[in-house]
Amino acid sequence: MRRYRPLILLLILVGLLLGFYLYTSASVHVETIPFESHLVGKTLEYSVVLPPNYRLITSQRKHYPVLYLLHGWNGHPQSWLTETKLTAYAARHQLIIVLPEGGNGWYTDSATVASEKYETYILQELIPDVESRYRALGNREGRAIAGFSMGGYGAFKFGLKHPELFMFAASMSGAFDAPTRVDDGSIMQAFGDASNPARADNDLFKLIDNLMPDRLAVLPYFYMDCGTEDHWLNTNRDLANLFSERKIAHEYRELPGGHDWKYWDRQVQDVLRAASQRLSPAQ
Amino acid sequence: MKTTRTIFLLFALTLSLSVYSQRLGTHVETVQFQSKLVGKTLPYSVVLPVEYAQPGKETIRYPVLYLLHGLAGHYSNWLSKTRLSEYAARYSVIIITPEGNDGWYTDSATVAADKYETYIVQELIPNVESRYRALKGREGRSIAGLSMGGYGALKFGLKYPDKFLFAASISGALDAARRTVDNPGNAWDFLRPSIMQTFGAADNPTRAANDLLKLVRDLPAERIASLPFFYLDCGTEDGFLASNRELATSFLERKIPHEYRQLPGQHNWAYWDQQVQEVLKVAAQKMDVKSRQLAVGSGQ
Repeated sequence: MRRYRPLILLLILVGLLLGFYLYTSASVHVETIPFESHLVGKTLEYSVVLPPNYRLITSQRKHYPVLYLLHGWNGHPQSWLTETKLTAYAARHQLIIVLPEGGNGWYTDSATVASEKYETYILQELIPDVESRYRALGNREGRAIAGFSMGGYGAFKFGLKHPELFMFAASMSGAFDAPTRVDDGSIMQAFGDASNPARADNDLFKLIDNLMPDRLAVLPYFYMDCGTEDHWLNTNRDLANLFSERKIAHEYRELPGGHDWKYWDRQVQDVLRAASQRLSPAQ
Repeated sequence: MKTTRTIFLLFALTLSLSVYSQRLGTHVETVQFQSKLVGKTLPYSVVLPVEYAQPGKETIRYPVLYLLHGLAGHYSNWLSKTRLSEYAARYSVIIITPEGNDGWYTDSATVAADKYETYIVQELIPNVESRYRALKGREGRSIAGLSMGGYGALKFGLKYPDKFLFAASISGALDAARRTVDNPGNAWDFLRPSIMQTFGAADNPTRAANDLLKLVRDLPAERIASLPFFYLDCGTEDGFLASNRELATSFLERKIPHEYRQLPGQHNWAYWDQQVQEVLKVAAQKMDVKSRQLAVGSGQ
């Protein structure tokens, strides 16, 4: 009996290690990439929430759909992680969630500051970097984009201007009226003065009005919601009506809530669910 | 010897599994309810929660969701045309599917016996609450429906706010009481006979008394806080979309708490099968199913 003791101890040790390995692989993993943007000329950190089992040895050949989740004005990638239970919600889905840095740039190539290419940076630098670094599906069926407030505006603009890239676009409390406003410094910097052509080029309502009929069929699916106590409710209702008139496939929800993290913490769960339903499954 | 034992073990395993799966499902039964008011048998089906009959649960009372059918439909539609009994297994809620015939859940302006509103309030609800372990009182009651039933559910919520915590409409025919020969709207040929019989001619007072938009607009401000939470959704390919959007706007104007959704879909069972799952989810959230049950269970 005595001579088996080292073997038994070894087996217990191996068992514990295996358990630890499975346990850690099964949980959601967050990492931050200090991405150097040549376009913007700055380090633009982005965070990545990897789904459960991403690191498991049996998942090594599996590729996942990606959701780009944009922050709002005066926010950062970390805001999603500190202000909501995003990592807990992410555990329910087989989805890579990328949290980009957008500054206060309205996800737009600035009309006034040449280097602030916050739209092109997402398309030409961030997405390729994510898809080379992680096991992403790397096609339209495997890409979704969402955000709240400024990020909701941004997500819908990416969906309308680059339908070939995204299958699904979602907005929570979207600040869709931004390109028509002149009362905010970040808006003036992004879109220029009232007569600047960048305003029309980035106005969702104009983008939809100018859509060619043959482009309607290739658009991503649009999901949008807004709180009934939110100042941006009217612009959300207007956009939903326009989607409806133009017969663009969409879902619109209005429900009690303000323009705050309590609302976004609740609604991001529905956005994750809707995104998972629309995207290609991990394969 | 070994083979017999294996077969016996497999048999026992299958048997216990099938017994177990039975207990995991909801239980559906139908009550042949005799309405004195309407003077007819108006059956209703009952979907009981999975654990309703389990030992140790005998003292627990459950919240109730009344689920109304649409025009040309019957009490049995929800169970035969959707997977309601399967979806119901996710929640500790009793679901009742009443019979409303083509009566618009309204006391008819032209047929004295067709009291399809009063029958729900005065006969059906007391019958359900005496027959089943239902929570009594507003906090434990919700009402929902599709099309004509969506109209009915929101009307019950507006006219009897003391009775319901939550009222939901799926593809509601919300402008029913406003439809006349001069204001026919979508699907008029289908709607006309039952609408004229229920609400009468354009000047009949039954119309104003059952007009959702008017009920919302005329609601005294002090009553708003006592209303149930309203949920309404409609498919973007549904002819009733405009009337749904209109009511959502009037809820907004009166600052009445509500959730409105529009999403791809038509006026059909594919849409209703999908959306009844959402309504169940919201109803369970609003009635706070888990905590309420525990509170009642420990209190007895």
